[in-house]
Amino acid sequence: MDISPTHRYEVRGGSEIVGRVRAWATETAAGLGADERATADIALAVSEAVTNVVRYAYADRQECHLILTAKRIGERIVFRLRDYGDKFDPARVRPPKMDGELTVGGYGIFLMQHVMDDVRYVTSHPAGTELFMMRRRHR
Amino acid sequence: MFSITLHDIVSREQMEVETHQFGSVVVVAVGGNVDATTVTDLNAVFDDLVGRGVRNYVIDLGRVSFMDSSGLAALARLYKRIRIGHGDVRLCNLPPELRRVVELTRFDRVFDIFDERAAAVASFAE
Repeated sequence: MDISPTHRYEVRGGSEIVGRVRAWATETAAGLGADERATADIALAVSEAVTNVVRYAYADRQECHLILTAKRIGERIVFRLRDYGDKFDPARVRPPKMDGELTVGGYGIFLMQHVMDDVRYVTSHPAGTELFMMRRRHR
Repeated sequence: MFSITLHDIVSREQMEVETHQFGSVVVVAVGGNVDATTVTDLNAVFDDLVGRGVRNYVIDLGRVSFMDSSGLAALARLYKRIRIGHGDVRLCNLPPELRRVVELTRFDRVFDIFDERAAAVASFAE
């Protein structure tokens, strides 16, 4: 199977890292051959994931530490996000109702799951959370 | 159509917000990136307008290059506050990627969406 070199990005800071990480993910996804739609989907999913890290793993403190890697495995692009903050349990995030009654939050994980082909959290590490997200380069 | 500019351009971290009043309707034109970093400025503009008693809103998203669920939450928060006073929030000029997000989250079942700003403003007179 054709596997690309692994791209790595390490970042520290507060909520301002969301835009920086999204810019890196967008450029990396396009460089790995994602089409326009896949690149936009990856940008959205990574933005949501990093927002959750800032809000939940670090409770909006200015000390977020996040390591991202990305690589292409055949036709799939895999992003890994590793943080070292409080463990994030995605099951604790209440999903939006989607019944015509507008809810103010809870759309982040919903969007990640809909635009990506696979989203998996690993919460068994001694500290922090690991997230794997996969998206085909073309659908 | 006569317009009054309510806010100077608010710009931080690549987001811009301009507001213009057309009679009883305020158009909030948003551009750039709306995410967890920038959405506080958008919420501040909404809070100010709600505090001034504005009830009818057109949110022009034509210059938005990226919006995640932080932006959706800001729209939902404004909508919930405004509906209590029988006002409304209508959207226009959605870029294709944002329209897809709005449809995925079913916001299009709550908000009236228009292709053009003028039509959205005029809809309040109907």
